[in-house]
Amino acid sequence: MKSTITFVLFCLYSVGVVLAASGTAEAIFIGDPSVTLATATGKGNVTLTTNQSENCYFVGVAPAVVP
Amino acid sequence: MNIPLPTKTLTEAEVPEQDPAYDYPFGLVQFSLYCPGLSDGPFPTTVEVTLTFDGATDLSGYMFRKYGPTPDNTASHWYDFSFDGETGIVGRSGNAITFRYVDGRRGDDAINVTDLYIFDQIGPTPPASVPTMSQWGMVLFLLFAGIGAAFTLRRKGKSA
Repeated sequence: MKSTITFVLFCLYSVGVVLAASGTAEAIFIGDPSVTLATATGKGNVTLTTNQSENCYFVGVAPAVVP
Repeated sequence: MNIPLPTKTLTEAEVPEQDPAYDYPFGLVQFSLYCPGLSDGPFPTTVEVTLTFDGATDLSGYMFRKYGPTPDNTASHWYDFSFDGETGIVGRSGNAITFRYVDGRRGDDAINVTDLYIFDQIGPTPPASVPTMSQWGMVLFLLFAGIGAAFTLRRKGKSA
């Protein structure tokens, strides 16, 4: 039983590593007052920030930026 | 309460209606900003959002247009989001632009709704280019001007 759980956790970790490395994973922004996204026209990134970072956050799902 | 739009970037072609007179070289930004920390006021909920485009160095000449309803026209349409005394552009610094939003007012696509959400679709558009003469156009212009000047001088010389 313990080995099964370990194996499942290892598989989930591997999938996460592969998705992160591919740069195509989607990042879920919940509670983030600053978000960086790739522009849809391929001209760099755009960063969204707010002066109410203690009180507001951007919501939704967007393509992650490849570091 | 409205369902939040996903925060993402998009091209003009992805917007339901095109804006034919303007180009959007950096595309558009769509976001939903939720402000639960301002539920106790102050009202109306007022926030500022800064967009920084690292692919640009200077956006000072750019207009920022957005797609959505306004208090005077509740059908979605394109409009210039310059400052009108309450909402719009309040700061420019190189490639960073700061906008002021008020919940439910012009700029918030959930128009006339105070729900602590700001919904927006906005993008930078360069200033309209002034039509200029091409290199060959200038060569031809100078050639004809020269011929005209020579012809005039010759006529003056004959009549004197």
